[in-house]
Amino acid sequence: MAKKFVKAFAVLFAFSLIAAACGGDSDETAIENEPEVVEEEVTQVEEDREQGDATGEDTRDDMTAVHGGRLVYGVEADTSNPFVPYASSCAISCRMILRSVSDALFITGAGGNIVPHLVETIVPSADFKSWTMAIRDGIKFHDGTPLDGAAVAYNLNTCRMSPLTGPALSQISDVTSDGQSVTISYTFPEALGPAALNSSTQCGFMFSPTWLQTIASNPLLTAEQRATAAGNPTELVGVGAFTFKSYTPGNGNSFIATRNADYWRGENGITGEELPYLDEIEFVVSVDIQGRSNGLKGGQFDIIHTSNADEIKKYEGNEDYVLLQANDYGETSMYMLNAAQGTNPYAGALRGDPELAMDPLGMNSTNPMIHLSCRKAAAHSLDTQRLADERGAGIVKPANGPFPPGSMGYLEDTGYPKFDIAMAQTEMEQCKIDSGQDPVTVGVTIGQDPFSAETADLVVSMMDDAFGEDISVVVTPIEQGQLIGLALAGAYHVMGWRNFGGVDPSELWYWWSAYTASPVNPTVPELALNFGRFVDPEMETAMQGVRFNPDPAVRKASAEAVNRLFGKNVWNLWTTWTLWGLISSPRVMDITTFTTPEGTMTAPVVAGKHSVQQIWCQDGNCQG
Amino acid sequence: MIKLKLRKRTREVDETSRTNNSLGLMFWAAVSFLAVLTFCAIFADILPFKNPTQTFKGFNKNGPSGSFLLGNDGVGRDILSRVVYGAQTSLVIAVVGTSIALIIGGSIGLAAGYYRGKVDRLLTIMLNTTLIIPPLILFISLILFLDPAAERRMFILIFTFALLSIAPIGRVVRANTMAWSEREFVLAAQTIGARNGRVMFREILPNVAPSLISYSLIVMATLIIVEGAVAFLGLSVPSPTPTWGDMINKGRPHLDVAPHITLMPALSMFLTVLSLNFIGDKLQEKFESKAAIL
Repeated sequence: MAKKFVKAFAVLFAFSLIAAACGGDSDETAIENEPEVVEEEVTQVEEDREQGDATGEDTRDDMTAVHGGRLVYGVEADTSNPFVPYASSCAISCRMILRSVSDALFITGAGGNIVPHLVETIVPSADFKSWTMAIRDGIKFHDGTPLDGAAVAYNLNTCRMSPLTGPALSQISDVTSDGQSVTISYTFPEALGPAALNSSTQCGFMFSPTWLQTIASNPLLTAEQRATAAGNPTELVGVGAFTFKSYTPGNGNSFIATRNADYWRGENGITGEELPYLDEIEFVVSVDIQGRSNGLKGGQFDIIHTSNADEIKKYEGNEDYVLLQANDYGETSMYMLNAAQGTNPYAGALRGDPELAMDPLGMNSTNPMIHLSCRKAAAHSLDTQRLADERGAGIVKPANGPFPPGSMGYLEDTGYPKFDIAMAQTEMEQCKIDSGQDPVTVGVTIGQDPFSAETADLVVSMMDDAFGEDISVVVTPIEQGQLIGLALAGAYHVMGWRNFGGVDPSELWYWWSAYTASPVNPTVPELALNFGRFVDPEMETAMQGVRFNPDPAVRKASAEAVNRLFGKNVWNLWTTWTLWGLISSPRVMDITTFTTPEGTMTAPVVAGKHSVQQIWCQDGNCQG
Repeated sequence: MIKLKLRKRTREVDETSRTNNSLGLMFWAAVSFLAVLTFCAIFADILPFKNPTQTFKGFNKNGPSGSFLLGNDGVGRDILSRVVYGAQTSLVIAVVGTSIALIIGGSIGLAAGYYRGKVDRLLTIMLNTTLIIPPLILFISLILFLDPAAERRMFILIFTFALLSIAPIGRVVRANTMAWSEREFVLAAQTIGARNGRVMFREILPNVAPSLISYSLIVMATLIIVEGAVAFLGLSVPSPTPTWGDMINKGRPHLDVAPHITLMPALSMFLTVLSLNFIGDKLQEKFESKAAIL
């Protein structure tokens, strides 16, 4: 019987192929069954999403929080060089771990304002070149070391001296402490001051200086101290709600932290609150979104996060799960372009070499994206609305710059090239002349997950449609953890990327500044936070307005100027503004409703990140 | 009495022979499927298939329709044409990889089985060495070591697949050679002074060949599966060249809403492997029974 079935099936399939071959129609105009457009009721979430105001707030009915339970959180990536802030390539998943074991000096308020958290008060000098913070008294790290001004200064200095994070803090000229007080001095007036050291920034999180002194990679240690330093940089000692228990690197492995009974916001702490509620929290790396989603459905995870809109869409209306969506302060998805070329007088000034060559060995000279014409051609060829509809399930919006709707600097029209095949082809002709290539050959580096790979296929197809034989695109999938390394070292032409999440543009300056653009030189590898390594004098001027001018109107105008410069010079190929989804079991409560000790509501989700101290599970049991 | 017994035995042999001459509907269905697939793969460029890399706006994840007989994938590409063009990759890798392994492995097995002694021991150690390491791990390591940037992936895949297929083929040929080299006609050829080369290639090889062919079909089927596995891990021929494994991998995110994206290439791979295995088994049966009669 089975044999007959197999026979029949084989014969049927063979003939279906023959029929298909004979019936195949290469005439694209003869396509039938145009997809139907279905009108749907617009919900509040959809409206917020459209305006860029989806905050991810957990608005479920208030219930009394109870202690207990073990929460398993499926996160999207492991971390390179975990976890000390000065050395770690710390993306969203890493920041979630930092939030569990420590707190930041500041935190983002619900209105987008930065509010003190470990800091009690902050006072700027009259010229805004010096800011003095008073640190809350009575807070201790997990090893008993007190959190005082000296501890904060030590943390900041490790970040200042680090080759990774140092450039982002290069404007700090000095950090001094006295008791619970810390004073940060800046080279220029700082409009935002140390408030940039909030929970969106890895260097905003505080760790025990006693423990940091045992870590061999600590840039403040002498060679002798390094030789005897035996601490483990993954065994974080912070001031947070949970204390480190274990960490096993790699996909499928986890970071586990247990309840800190002496948390400064707990019953034994200085505020006398009851945080945290959970007994234990475990972050399990599950890179593949399908694996993560199935893990949630199968009970392996109690909560997951994702920026895959296609997956988020699947949970809409599913009452078996809680879905919180956030695009407020979100990131921008893009294809990042490596524009390293020419000289960089800005970074050169810091090194005493005003003619600092950005590509001394010509490693990036064959990258067509160093030419504006090629960047414009590529931008004109991408139908970002289609990308939003087909790859973002229609619930994300096409991006035109680094600032999403609702954030400072957002513009309806940034001047970024619009989808226009004719313009693309015109620019391509110039690109061929500028690059000296025909066909123009470009390498695209992407993550290895199937969704990113398929999205890249669509992008390549759009370029093929626009340029035909004039372009040759080579797509290289790379393991997720290695992507950041390649971006930092500048070893790419074009890279699938997601970045620029933040509340205030002044938090983002180091991604775009020529001061943080290091040369591409494999013989002397240097890390650059300006991954695109572009040098844009107008951008430097505009960013000064954002960073150094306390006048809100000037800052806003400057941020808009930054946005226009991105549009004009096409430093990145924007695709969509990121929508984050937090998906959990209904037993997990208060996922994003976190307040400061003073009762100020914090921003529920900032670029996928949220607090975990306040999370509790029904009946003190997350699994049910 | 004696005559009757002889007649009965002759009739049994005739029936066995007749049964084996008839290969059955399933065999021919498998041959037809492979023939159609191979024909479509070879002549894909001139047959009326859509461009396998072209994405059709608004058709992503659509099911089978009049315009797209097997439906569209996650970015709107025609699954039928991708299945057909994907067959090119699978078949080229399987056929070329197996052919190379057949020539090298066959020669080694023939020499080891015929000469025996020290030659056999040395060659057998060589063959067995490649079997120590788990094949998939060795495949992946070789691919990543030899071609980290995926610049000549097709060549590297064929090379690694051939390299790791040599040992199984060599062992089969060696065992068959050992069996055939003890037959009377081989001894007769050696007795009349035929050179070793002539004995091996004129007397033994033609008898080893049938089982070698049927086994090589099974090796081809295995290579198709391994290529699929490697593609699933993102290590096969890079995009936009379609491969079945890559199609299955990229269909995973849409399994719950558009299972046909994964199902169609998976079915193609399943039926191809099934066909190759079935043809190989049938030929093996046929050749074995012929040998038994002989």
